[in-house]
Amino acid sequence: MIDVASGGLTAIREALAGALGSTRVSDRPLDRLAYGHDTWPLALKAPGETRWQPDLVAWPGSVEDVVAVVQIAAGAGLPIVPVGGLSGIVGGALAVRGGIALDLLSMNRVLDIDEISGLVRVEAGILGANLEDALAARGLTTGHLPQSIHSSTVGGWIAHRAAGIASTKYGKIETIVRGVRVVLADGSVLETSAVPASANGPMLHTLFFGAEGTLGIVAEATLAVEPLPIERRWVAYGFADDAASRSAASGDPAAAAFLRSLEVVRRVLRRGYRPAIVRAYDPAEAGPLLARAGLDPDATHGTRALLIVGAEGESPLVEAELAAVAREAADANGTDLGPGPAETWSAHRFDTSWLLGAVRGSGSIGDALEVAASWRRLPGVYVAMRAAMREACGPDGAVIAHLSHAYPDGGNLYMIFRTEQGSDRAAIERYPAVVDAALGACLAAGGTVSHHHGIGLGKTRWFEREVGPVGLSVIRRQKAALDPAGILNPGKLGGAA
Amino acid sequence: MRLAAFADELDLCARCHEQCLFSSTVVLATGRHTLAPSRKALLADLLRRGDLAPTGELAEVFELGIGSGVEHEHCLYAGRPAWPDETRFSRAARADLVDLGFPSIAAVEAAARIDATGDPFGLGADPGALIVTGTTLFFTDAATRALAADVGAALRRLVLELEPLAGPLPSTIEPVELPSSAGFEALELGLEAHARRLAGALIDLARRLGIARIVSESPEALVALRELGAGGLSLVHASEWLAAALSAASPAAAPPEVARIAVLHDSARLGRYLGVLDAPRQVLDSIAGVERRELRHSRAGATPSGPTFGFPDADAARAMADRLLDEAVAAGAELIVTSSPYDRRNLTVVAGRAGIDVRDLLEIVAAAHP
Repeated sequence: MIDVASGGLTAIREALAGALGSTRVSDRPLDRLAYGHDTWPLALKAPGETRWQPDLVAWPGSVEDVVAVVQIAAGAGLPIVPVGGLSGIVGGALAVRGGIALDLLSMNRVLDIDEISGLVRVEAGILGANLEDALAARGLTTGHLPQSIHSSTVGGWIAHRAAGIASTKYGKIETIVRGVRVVLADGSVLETSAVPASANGPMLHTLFFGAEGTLGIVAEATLAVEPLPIERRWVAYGFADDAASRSAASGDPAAAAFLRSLEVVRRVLRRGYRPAIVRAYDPAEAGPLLARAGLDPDATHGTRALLIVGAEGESPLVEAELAAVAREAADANGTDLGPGPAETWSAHRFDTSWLLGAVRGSGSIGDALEVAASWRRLPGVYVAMRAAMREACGPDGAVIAHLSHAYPDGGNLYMIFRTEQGSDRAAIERYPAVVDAALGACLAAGGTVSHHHGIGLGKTRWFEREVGPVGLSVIRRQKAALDPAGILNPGKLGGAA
Repeated sequence: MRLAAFADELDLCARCHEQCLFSSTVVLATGRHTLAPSRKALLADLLRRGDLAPTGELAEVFELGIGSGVEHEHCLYAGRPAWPDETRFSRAARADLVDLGFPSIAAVEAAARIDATGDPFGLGADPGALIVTGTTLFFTDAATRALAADVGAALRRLVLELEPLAGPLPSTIEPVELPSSAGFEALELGLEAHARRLAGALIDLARRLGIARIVSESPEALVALRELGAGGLSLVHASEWLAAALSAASPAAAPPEVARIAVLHDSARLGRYLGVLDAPRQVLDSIAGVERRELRHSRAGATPSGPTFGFPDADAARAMADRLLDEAVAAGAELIVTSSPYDRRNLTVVAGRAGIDVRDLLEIVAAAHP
């Protein structure tokens, strides 16, 4: 183990400089400061915060460089926190015990595009937008298009099991990734076969999905790619309150129309259709979106909830999917709003200024909690979380919600809150209370506390509650076997800090 | 502090979802998140608020910027009040750091050369770099003379050919009064007093000569004059002048060395900061035999070619140019046409590996109008 007080870090830095080159490692204060925060609301709320700073920053340029860093760190017992775009919003890339921030952004090459098989092999530090740009030049896409695509990396997506806006068609990242190359805590390199299917024992690469860098450092990945869609068409439907849906929503009038829109999504998915983009908004979130599109409830037969669907691919497929949506929406008394609201959403889909405003504002804070549940439980999760969050936010709070990822057996919910507490200190203190109320209600109603943001620092307690003591034991035994010294991203996924 | 004027921008940028990161040329070239706009905004904001002491290390961070504006183009807050621009707030930070006693090494060296010769390259004034035609002053900046002398020569030849009233400066102008640089490099390095002095000398000369517009081949010179105050003079890039001058001329035929598949690289200063996007295309399209293709990222979204003056990391600079060169290769280019001396320099350093020629637009036009 290194003795930091006696200058051990200097020796580590020099060893890293010897392996990577002197410009590829830093212990300088400004570099440490830069890597001391990501986009977790509590980190954004306190710019310049020093408690999550690493001791060193290393910029490897190859798998061999990553191996060298791991071997040096392992020899010294120094933590390593793998870092991608620092776009995570749960604090997954924050150093809780110092150590080395291993920034993979230099490892950003497209290594191979296999157009015959539909596969792309990349270094894990490539940013999503740069990957899609390279693929688009060849008429291809991964179909993985998260809102963070301009600032998140392939490695980061794998680390927290990301989802893109078109996940209903293309799947989450764990269904897109075919193989990985991972540097383990002892410096050995695991490379899994990138094959369409296999029964050669357990699926080793899946071990690292959602592991947040605690079991190994994903250095390369092979992803499935699809042809760029020939056609994409949008539709939108509005849903008003009615007596039947009010009953289903436990008398909550705000929930009633939204739950009907969810039911339309369920029916479409259960019939086997997979439109790429499916988004259903509750009244609190639908209102501003409709206003932005130039619509108001009076002009839309009292629309309170909004359903947006984007279908893409070959024309017959698009036609069939949109026809199915139209049938189900009509059966649920939905009003055809044309493509306008969907096109408006698409044009502004990277606009996260509302949420950032909630974090930046003096005395305010907010977050977007993404949960998931089966169709049978999803309405209950929404009603319970909304009620719990509204109460925890207080009278000056707001809770809005939408579904943005749908599956044959269920969907996610984005439960977004903003609360005003009079001072930043009060807001920071209120934040965990709102999150606790929300995730507690989610678990009680049968949901999972994270659909695609991961656990990080923000959801640790609820992660442990959801997986339970046996699940936690399995995870900890995996960790002990692969990283006995606990150097890989300590303090995450139930690991010791 | 100059950064005080950027308080709202810095707050927006420092606490952001960094949707410009994918375009951040310096970050992609170095892998260093420290150099991302959001982190620079954080450091600048901490400096502004007195929560961070000025240091040489801080000066080095702000030295590692290319001022291309591409992140600004992709900013989440584009078009809104307090739309952050790293180019501008980094420039302010560098100027504040100079005032606080922490100039970059490049700034120290440039200041000495400006004091000695009137420009950061140490060239000194050249009477041939200034041509008067009625109420227009054609000005070849020192950067062009230092980095792409052939471009300056091409401009001079074209002016003399296309402007009947073209003539040298009046003999009443003393050599010591001749400007050499418009001050862009000094402005970028945080040497604001030097920059104002250089730009002021050029503007004063223009006023004495009754000039109404200044035409330059250097978009950087024009940006500096605009930022530092052009005194009501019209600022025109050489491509705009050529587009107008050639509109009535007979179509020119490209000689063999330029009759090729060409891509036009949009200079950051010319495209994003001066908004001149069509004129270079119009000029290039007027030359028969040049097959112009668009780069994958062009116009306001163009990939930067690399740094301007005083960037200390040669490897990163090469990596930036390589990225743009890859786009040119993908477009099937045989020739990259630039419209800034810095772009021409940056791309010339790497283009050999792809067997692609790099020429300024003025060189192409001059070759087509022998």
